[in-house]
Amino acid sequence: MADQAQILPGSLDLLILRAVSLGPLHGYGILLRIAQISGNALLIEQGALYPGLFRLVRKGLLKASWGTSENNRRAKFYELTAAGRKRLREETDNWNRLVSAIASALSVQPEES
Amino acid sequence: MKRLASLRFLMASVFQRSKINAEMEEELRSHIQHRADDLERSGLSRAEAERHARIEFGGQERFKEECREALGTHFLGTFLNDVRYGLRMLRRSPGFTAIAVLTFAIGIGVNTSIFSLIYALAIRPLPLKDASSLVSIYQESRATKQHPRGTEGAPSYVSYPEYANYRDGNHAFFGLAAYAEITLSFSGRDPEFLHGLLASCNYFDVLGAKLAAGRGFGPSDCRPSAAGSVVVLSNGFWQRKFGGDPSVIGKRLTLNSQVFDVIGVTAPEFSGTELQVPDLWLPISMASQLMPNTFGTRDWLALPNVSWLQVVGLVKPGISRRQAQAEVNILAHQMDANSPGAKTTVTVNAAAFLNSPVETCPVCVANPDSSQFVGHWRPLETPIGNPLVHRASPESCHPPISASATPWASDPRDEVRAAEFGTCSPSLGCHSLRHSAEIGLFVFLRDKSTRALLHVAFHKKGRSAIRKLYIWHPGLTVQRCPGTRRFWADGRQLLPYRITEGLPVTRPESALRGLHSRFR
Repeated sequence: MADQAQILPGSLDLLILRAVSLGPLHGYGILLRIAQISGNALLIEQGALYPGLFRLVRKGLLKASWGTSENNRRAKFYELTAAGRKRLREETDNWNRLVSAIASALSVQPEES
Repeated sequence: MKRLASLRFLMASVFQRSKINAEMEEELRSHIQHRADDLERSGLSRAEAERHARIEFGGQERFKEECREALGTHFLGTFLNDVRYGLRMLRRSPGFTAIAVLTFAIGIGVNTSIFSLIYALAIRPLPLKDASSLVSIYQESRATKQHPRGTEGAPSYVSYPEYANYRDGNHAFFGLAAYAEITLSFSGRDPEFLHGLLASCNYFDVLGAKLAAGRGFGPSDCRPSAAGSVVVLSNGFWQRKFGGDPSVIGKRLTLNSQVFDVIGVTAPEFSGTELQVPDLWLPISMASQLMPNTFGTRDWLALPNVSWLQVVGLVKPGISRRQAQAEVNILAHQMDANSPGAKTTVTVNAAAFLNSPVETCPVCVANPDSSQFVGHWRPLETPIGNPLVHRASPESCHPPISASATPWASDPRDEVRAAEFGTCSPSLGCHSLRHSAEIGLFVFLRDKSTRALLHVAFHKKGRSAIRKLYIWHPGLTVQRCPGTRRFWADGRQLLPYRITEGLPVTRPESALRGLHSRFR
């Protein structure tokens, strides 16, 4: 647990969109997928996922429908809408720009005086 | 798309609150079950696994609240709570509530009634047929030394030659009618003052007036030297004075000493263009005969620069008010070209009771030739504080003026001088004075800085009315006309005065009261 990173504010939406982009998932499935694709490096509080999901549905980036899970249980499945797909592309680009900018800023070595 | 989705959610949240809550509950339960499945697979008992799953998940209620917040539905809940709280507080202090409600009620009521009044007077079209196509035409004329302008009514009114130019030159109107208000002394068994309207002879056609009896004016009624003129009675006056007797057509009425044949009576629903429905309509060509003293012997219709006519027109379909205004403005500019320096701007407004442009005319220059306010006046020895102002001279046959007609001038230090006016000037004799007289009174209040001219109509039977009041500001002046002095038979001198600048007051009685209280 100690080596798991707390996620940055605002990045949860991006992670959800990314997880769902690979195929429709229910809430718990999304958590598993995020853990899997991040190599168990990111910690998401289980309950905190749902306000994020509802927010994305309200924005029209995700759509939800009831179905049956692999465990043969009733569950709500989420998938990307066209707007969600577009947003994911944009946000990924933004994120990459930000990360490389911060990384390059941090990698600058202080000059010897 | 986004907006639609959130709208759908909001609607759902309003109408399906319990359904959303149930779904939310089920979704979270499903999550915990899935987690428990995984834990069970790692070796825990089912009961143990579910307990762990619930603990891992954390406080369900908190997340449900956050979900509702994410849906935007909690605003509604908060709002309803606020409303409930507000109502509770109002119930707790009924006095405050009553005053607040009353304040709102009075505020709304006052606003509504003021708007109704403004609507009725200035916005609502006139109660006439085709009212939406009816417009009023006003103009703004720049008076110069070379082109002084006289006003009998309001500066935005037009002169007859201007009206004729607009009427005959345009292609935008079915017709343009002109009219001017006039007060008439009606001689008969029961003499009285009447409110008349001098109207162009197309007046009834343009306004689409219906007649209850007889006919309206025809073109021949407005010929300049028509022998024996005609009059159309309003329905109200006809009922009041003649009891609705149809045989009134053809009867003769004497108005301002002129004889008129009654040719028609308007239908009850026709109320004309003015707030006050006139008692009768007379052809515009009778202006000079009916008001012989305002401009002397001059023909009113020939005066090119006296504002005295209001104009109303019926716009042809498909022509906007702006187009009509542009056309009339071109006609005005053509006229201006003949008198260098003159500048006339025409405004075309939707016809309503009060729609003349704001009349800001700080200095109204009277035309020295038309000098419409000429009063031959002479100081009286008797101040008005005295109960009776006696007859000033043998020639002037106006009745004694009782002080009760002028209750505002009871202070003996106020100096009041009477001037003879209109109907009783020596050159014209006193023919119309059998029943009434019009007398000008110059009032000089104590501080001498405010002077006023009253145009008072006295009636033999004691009914007097203040017809007009002109008040001077300290900076405005009354000028003496040079060179023209007249003498009464007994040798006393008469000095003609011309009022060059004045402030016409439309409600003389209240203005007088205000004036008096201010200088008491």
